[in-house]
Order: sequence, then structure tokens, then C-alpha cells
Amino acid sequence: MQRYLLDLHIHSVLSPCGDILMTPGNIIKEAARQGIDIISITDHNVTGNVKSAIELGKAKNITVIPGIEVQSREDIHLLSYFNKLNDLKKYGKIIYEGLNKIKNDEDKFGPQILVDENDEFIGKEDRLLINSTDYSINELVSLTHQHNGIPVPSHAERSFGIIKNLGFIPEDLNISFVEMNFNETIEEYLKKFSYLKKFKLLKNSDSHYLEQISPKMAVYLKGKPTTEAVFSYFKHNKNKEFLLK
Amino acid sequence: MQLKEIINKLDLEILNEADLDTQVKGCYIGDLLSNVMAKAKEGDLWVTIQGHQNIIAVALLADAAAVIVAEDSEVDEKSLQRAKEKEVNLLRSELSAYELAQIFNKMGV
Repeated sequence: MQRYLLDLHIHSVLSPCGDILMTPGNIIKEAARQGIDIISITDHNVTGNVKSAIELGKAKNITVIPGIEVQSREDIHLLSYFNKLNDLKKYGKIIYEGLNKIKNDEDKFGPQILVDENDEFIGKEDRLLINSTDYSINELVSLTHQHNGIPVPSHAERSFGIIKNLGFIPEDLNISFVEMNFNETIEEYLKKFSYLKKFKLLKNSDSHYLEQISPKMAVYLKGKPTTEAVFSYFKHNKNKEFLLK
Repeated sequence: MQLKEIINKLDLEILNEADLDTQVKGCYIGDLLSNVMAKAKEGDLWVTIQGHQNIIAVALLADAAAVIVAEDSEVDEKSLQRAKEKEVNLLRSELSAYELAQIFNKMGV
């Protein structure tokens, strides 16, 4: 059994709100410096920097789980994690088709920069990425499952969170995981939202700046640290077994 | 004032009819349902652009006179089902929340 430290919610320079220093290479370096073994680059509504991050991670022995953070038409943010990059890409294509077509204004929102496997700028995304898609939260969850992915509503009680926007988590939503506030303990959080007991609660940094990256969870795995293995660990262990204080 | 007077005046689309004789006591406007749960009052006309099924549960919780979906926003199929099952008045208008509020105000809501 090997112990792995995780941070599964990090925005790169492709997200307009991500700092200019948040290149996949810098993120990998910072993760390595802190001993984080498994990360996920979860940009808003796009997947363009994930492949570069996966490649850059190899040199530092850091696993990059294919992920994305999508905004539903109810303005709810949903993280989705996939086993295969190809499944993420297919999901990402559908998301992009449903993303409102508004041009990014760099002065207002920041640049949306694509980076290659050498961590060099290769292009920009023109369409504004911090915006909602045409899909409902229920549709996004179904689409994630259809692509063998794992849906996790982000920062549930905060702005753009499912509890904030919908008041509570709909009973028929097919999810097993919810991202909780990393500043609170699980006990404090469940006191406020006791009906969340039936879900496994995850903590991530939701970093937009390098200095925000930090390990919030740890898992013990036997084999390779794949997406499947990580989420299987979450599923079969208690919250306090994998949430760091 | 009865709900049906407002429906007739504004020519609102009736997505689900439960009790159109119900008394309207006020109005609340909001799209963040966590906030609506805390603030909307009994007998309110609740105006929103949210179409998610949770609007029905929130309307029940607040005991709102009706949910009015503004700006002809899309309403999920499940919301229609739930409105029927739970007997919630579910209406729709092409007007914005602001335009609706102006008319309610003139009508004395």
C-alpha cells in the first residue's frame, strides 16, 4: 500500500480567472514541491490544457486525473473526472457545443491561454469560458456517467454551488460525491447540512493561484493511482480516512 | 386578490393549475433557491428564471401562491410532473421579473 496526497480541483491559465503563472508546468512543479502525487486540472468548460499537464506530470511522477468543471444552465458548477483522456475529450466536445457563444473580453475576465507539452503558450481560447452551458445539472450528471465519468458538484454551499443555487441536492440526482468547504471540518459541515451524510464529501483547493495549491486529501492504494482506484478508495472508506485536517 | 385575476390581467401561460382561487399576498423575486427558501413568504407570487424541479419543493416550503417563470425560461419536464403531483400553481410569462413587478405593483399586490 502506498500513500498518495491529492488536490483534484485546480484551474490553469486556460480558465480566465486562473493566474497567468498557472501553466500546467508550474502547477506540476508546485505539486511536486509539496509532495502532492495526484492532481486534476479542472478548467471552466474546457479540457485544452489537460493533455499537456498529463505529459508534464510524467517527468515528476505526478498523476493528472482527466477532469473539467462545467457550469450548468442553473449556474451550478459540476466537476467531472474520467478514467481516460479520450472520454474527457468527448464529454468536453459536447460541453463546448452547449457553451453560450460570447467572446472573451481579456481586460475584464483575463486571458484564456492554451499551453503545449513543453509548457509554452500556443494559443488562446476566444469564447468566454466562465459562462453557463445549455445543459441542466441533471443532464450534465447523465452525460458524465455516459462517458464513464464521476460527477462531483463543486463547492456545494458557495457561489455557483448546488446547495446555494438549488436550495438542496435534488433526490434523484445520480451522484455519490460532493465537494465540501475545505475550511471546515466534516463534523462542522455535516452539522449544517446533515442530509449530506449519504454522500462522500471531498475537499480540494479550487486553486486559481500557485500559492493556493495544497493537499486536502490522502488515499492508500495498492496498484496504479488511476481515477477508478482513487474514487473506489473514496467510496469504500470513511470521510475521515481520506480528508486531511 | 385572487391568483386568477393576475393570470387574466397578464395573460400568463398556465403550466400547471392547482388552485387559481388562492389569495395572493405579496411577491418575491429570486433565482438562488437557498435564498428563496429563507425569504419567500406564504401567499407570495414567486418570480424566477429557474426551471429546475427544485422550484416546486421550494414553492411548497414557502407556501407560495404560485411560481411564475419569467422571460419564457425553459422549465424542466420534471418540474411539470412535480407541480402536478404536489399541486403547485406553475405559470410562465415572457416578461422579465422587473416588468412583472411593475404590473403587480400597479395592481396593488
